Parts: sequence; C-alpha cells; structure tokens
Amino acid sequence: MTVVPVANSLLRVAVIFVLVAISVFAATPTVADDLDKIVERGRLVVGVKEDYAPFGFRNSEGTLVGYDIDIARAFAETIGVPAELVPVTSANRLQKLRRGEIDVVVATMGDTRSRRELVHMVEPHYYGDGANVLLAPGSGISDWADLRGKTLCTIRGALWGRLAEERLLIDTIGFNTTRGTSLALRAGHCAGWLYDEVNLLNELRSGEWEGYEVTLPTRFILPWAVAIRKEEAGGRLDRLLGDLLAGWHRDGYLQGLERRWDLPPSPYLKRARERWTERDDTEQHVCRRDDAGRWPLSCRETSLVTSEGRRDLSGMALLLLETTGLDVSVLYDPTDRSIFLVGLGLTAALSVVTVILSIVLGVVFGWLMHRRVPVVAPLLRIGCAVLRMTPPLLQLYIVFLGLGGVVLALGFTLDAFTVAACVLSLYAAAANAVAFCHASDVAAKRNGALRFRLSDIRAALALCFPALMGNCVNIVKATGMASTLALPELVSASTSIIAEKGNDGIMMNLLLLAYFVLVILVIQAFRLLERRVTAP
Amino acid sequence: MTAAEIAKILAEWTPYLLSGFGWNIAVSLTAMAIGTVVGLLLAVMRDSSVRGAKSGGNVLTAAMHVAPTFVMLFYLTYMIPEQLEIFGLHVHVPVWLKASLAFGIAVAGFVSDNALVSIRHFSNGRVPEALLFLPSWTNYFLIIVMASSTASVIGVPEMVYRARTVIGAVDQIGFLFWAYLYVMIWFLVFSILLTMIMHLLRNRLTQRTHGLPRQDETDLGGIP
Repeated sequence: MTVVPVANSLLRVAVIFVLVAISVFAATPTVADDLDKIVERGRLVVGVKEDYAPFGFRNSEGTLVGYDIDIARAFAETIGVPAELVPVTSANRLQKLRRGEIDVVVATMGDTRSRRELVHMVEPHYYGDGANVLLAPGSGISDWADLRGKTLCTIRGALWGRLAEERLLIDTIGFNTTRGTSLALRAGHCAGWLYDEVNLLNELRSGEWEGYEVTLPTRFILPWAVAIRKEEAGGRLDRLLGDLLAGWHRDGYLQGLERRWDLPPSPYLKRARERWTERDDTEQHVCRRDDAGRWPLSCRETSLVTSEGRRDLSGMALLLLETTGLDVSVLYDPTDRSIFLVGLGLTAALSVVTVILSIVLGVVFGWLMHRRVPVVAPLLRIGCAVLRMTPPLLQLYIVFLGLGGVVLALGFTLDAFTVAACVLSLYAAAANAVAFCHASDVAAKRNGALRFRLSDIRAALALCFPALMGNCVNIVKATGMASTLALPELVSASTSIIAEKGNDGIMMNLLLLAYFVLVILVIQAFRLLERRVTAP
Repeated sequence: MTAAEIAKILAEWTPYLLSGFGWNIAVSLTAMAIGTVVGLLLAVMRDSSVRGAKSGGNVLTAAMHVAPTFVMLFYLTYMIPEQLEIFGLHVHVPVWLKASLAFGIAVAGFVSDNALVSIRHFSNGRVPEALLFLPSWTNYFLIIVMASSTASVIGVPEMVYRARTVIGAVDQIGFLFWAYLYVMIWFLVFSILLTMIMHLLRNRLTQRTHGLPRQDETDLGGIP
C-alpha cells in the first residue's frame, strides 16, 4: 500500500516536469520581451530632448516637437500604441533607460564605444553630425592639412577642440559662449570657427557672415543612435526599430524630416541614403540582414562595430581593440583598409616610376654633360645645380600649383601623380647626372674616350653605382612629399585614418614599417642589379 | 598683376619671409647639433672593441639611414605629446623641436658614418684627412636646410609656410607662382654662398692631404 502514494507522487513530479518543459520550450520564442510589455502597457515611453531645437523642443503651445519627436511618434504608430514622451537630458537619458523608466531613447545621442557599454544602439543610425570650420573670407584654406600650425576658435570643452589638436595637429582656443567664439573669429583671432557642422551651416544662413564659408569635408562624423536596453540587443524591438530606420533611409523619410525641420542638408543622411538604397546583382539591397539578423559590416559605422564573437581577422582585430585598446582599424574597417592599400600602391608605384626615370634621365643628362655637348651641357649643368640647391617641396609647389594654374587656363589639368613623379624624378636625376658625368670622366681617363656604347655606360655605371643607389633610396624616402599635392599616398592615407579613428600610435608605426620595408626592398633590388652591372 | 606690382608686394613681405628663413636655419642647426652628438656617440660605439656596442651602433646607424625624414616629421609629431613629463617635470615640446629631432635622426646616421672614418684617420695620425669631416658636415647642413622646408607640413612657420600665408593674404591669381619662385631664389642664394665656403674649406684641406680624391661634386644626394 505504501507503493501507491510513492508512485502517485512520482507521477505528479513527472507531470509537473513535462508541463514545465513544454511551457519552457513553447514559451521560448514568445517570452515576454519589451515589445510585449509595450503592447500590454498600451504605450511606448520615449526619452526625448526638450531643449535642443529643432530636434526636440517645445513649440509656442508647449507641445514637444522636432525631428527626434517625429521619429519617436512614428515608432509608436508602427507598434500600434500611442507615444508617451518623457523629457530627458544628456546627463540622465542612459540611467532612465537602464532603470526601465523609458523604453527607447531618441535624444540627439551620439553613438560612442563607451556608451555602448551601457546601452544597445539600434542600427542604422538616424542622423549624423560632424565638425566643420567656418572660414574667414579669402583664407586660402582648401583642406584640413592647410590648418596645421594655425589656430581655430572653438567652444571650451567641446569634443571637437580636443580631437582637432590630437588628430589633426591644429591648435585651438576655447571660448565660453557661441557669441564669444564668433566675435573672436570676426576680430581675426583665429583662422576659423570649429563647431558642429549643422550649427555652422545655420550660422551661414543667418546672413551675418558675408564672404565666410564652410567648404572643408566633414570631419569626426558622430552618428546619432536610437538606444534601447542592452538586454534587448538582437530582440524583436531591436529588429523592428532597425528595419524601420533602414526603410526610412531608403524611402527618404529621414531627409524629408530634415527639410520639414529646416535643417541644412546633412552630408551624413545623403551618404546613408546612397548606402541603404544600393542594390547588388540580384536586385536585392546590399544592406540587408544576414541569417543571424545582422547588417553587413560594410553598411555599419565600423568605428563602432564590436567583435560579437566573430572569428575572422576583422573579429580578432576588434577583439584586440576591445581588450587592449589597440585600434588596428585597417584590419576590420573596409574603408580604412582600402584607403591604406590605395596609399601603399600609390607610394610603391611612385617609387618605382621615380627610381627608373631618375636613372634613365640621370644617365642621359650625365652623358651629355660628360661629352661637353655645346649649349646643352652648360644648360644642363646650371639646371642640375638649381634643382639640387633648392628644396624639392618648392619644386613640387611651383610645378603643381604655379604651372598648374597656367595649364588650367589652357584647358588641361595636371594630375598630382604625374607631377610628383616628374618633379621627384628630375630632382633625383640631377644628382644622378652629376654622379654619372663624374664617373664617365674618370672611366674615360682610364680607358680612353668613351662612346655611347653599352659597355662604356656599364663601366661608368659601375663606378657611380653607390652614388646612384644612395640618390634613389633618398628619393623613395621623399615620396611622402607627394601628400602635399593631395595625392592619397601612404602618408595622406595614414593621417586621414588617424583623423577619423584617433589611432595615431598604430597608424604611425604602420606607416614607418611600410617605409622600412619599401626602402629595404629598393636596397635589395639595387644589390641584385649591382652584381649584374659590375660583373665582368 | 604687373611685374612692378608683384615686385612691390614681394619687397613688402620680404622681412616676414626672411624671418621665416631664420626658422629654417634654427631648425637645421638644432638638428645638426642633436644629430652630431648622437652620431659621434654611435661612431665611438662602432669603433669600440666591445661586441655589443659595436653591433648596437651598426644597427642603429642602419635604421637611421632607412628612416625617411618626411615620415619621421609626422611620426614624432603624433608620438611625442606636446607636454612631456620627465621625472615629474612638465616639459613643453614645441613643434619646431620635433622637426629638428626628425632631421636630427638623418644627421646622426650621416655623422656616425663620417665620424667613424675620421676617428680612424685621427688615430692613425692623419689629421688633415680626419678634418675632411668638416666640409662634409657643412654640405650635410645644406641638405638639412633644404629638407627643413618640409617642416611646413607640421606647422613650423618657416619660409615656405610663410610664403603660403603671404599667398593667402595677397589673394591674387598668378601671384602664387612668383611667391614660391622668390622663396626658391633665397634658398638658391643661401646654397651657393654655403657651397662656396665649403669649397674654400675643402681646397685648404686637400692641399694639405696631397691629392686626396675630391668628392664634392657627388655629395648633394637629395634630402634624406
């Protein structure tokens, strides 16, 4: 008789176990998440700004309106509930979200790695702002590099000032207010006003800045994100909001909002629209979720992407960044990688072309000088002396900028690569010509008169080989100067990656390493050649 | 713009440009000073019979020959913070000093090689031959002055940098060419003067060395 209760209780346990198991299995896909809670509660609670026009502010009736508010209401409408707007500040928006007081943050929030530690940023981003410079009339500045060594006015404590000093080597002076900054610019205390691009474009539209201009490419682009709780990452709410935002980039809804709130056309939104409407060969969007629900890497702001357990090279590079702070962005960011590889290719190509041209021209000029050809030889001597006794940087400027203007008037444009290759080749050829002429003189003294025969040239080449090699190694080392002609070679590539990522330590060492390898390869090539030239 | 107008503007700006050339000289002399001290140390290391010092000197010298000064300008500018803390002391590192350091590396490589030759001449009692180091050193100074124009890219207000400022201030089409050409002429005049001094020095020395080969024609091998 004692068996029955035991069996009964065993049966009861089994039934409960099975029921629990069924409920667990069955409930897994529909476990109550934020989306359920929102629907159940009957409203979407969104944290928004109330003091940041035109993104989140109160109109004359006291109602919250703005770019961000429209996005918040559109979210709620899609979910099918009304939106409850809760004013937040930059200081408390993340805490309120983490404590569960609000479901979503749409409050002019820039997406940064440190904020990603606290909350989940929905991708794609819904807006992007960056820094630009309001330049005084006739500043002559056409690139950020022109600002090196100059001073910019900025608002004290703003992120841009620090970034400009660290990454772009530009000095800044900080003023407490917008007004103070603009007065300092008008008084000529600085070359320009460094500030949020949107605000500067608004200043320009005010009509008070006659002749001033905002013409530089946007720097330090900071995308703005919609944030949800970290636990919701990859969940239904995340996907819903992400899909909505992607759709709004594609159909131009976000750019429509921009116009509605009278914002100047943001380069960020324009670029985002191009990115999200691009289609591949199968007519599908290039930017579409993979099986795991992730957007492709090329569609995301790679400066913010995390390793997320990826095992490939880019995943490892990201893991390195997350654990040690070492940012080898050329390994995980396709944009940085292509910038760097293009730079490497251009520098290598420039080196090869310059070395070959400088030797060929050097031998020809040197020979003409050696033969004392009337008129030509004295002219060449003077030309070589001038080339060797003036800075090659000035030679580049004079040909590219000075003659470039003349050529432009004739309807041609000078290509930076061609100019750099020609000027640097001629500069090295001048030194090579003098060395070759000298060697020919010595060889002639030794072997009797030289003719322009292969064996005679070889004899002279063998004599001046170390000098030629030294000159060529130096010209390869000087190829970086082409960066001053805005050629996107290795030095330009490295500094522009630093400007966006701030990984100056990594990039500078990578740049130096690349040059070390390049120079050593050139030396090795010359050693191989030397054996052939000096062989009997 | 007429030739007279261009000449007038250039004359007006000449004091400003020439004070920029003062920076070229200052940066170059500092680079020569730093590089010579380091290079001499390296040469002494390479001349010593201690194996570690010898190979250490060789490797460092080779590395200094490979490092491009233009790249080193950027490297040092980014890698050395503006405020350096040494033993609790806050030292301000101005950008021109970073440029001097970048050029100083090339100078050290050059001095290391040439001083080694001179040290060996000297210890064999061939003093005039050892002194040939001086014209070569002067020649290298000239090369560094040419190279110092590249310090403009990191914001040292030397002559080329100032030429750009003048071009911006004048803001006339066609002026750019003449401004850069004018600056180039100043570099050329300086080079010719220094080369003449160097030849004089070398001729004096070669008279005493009884026909040691004159190499001055092949010395200017481009900026390092």
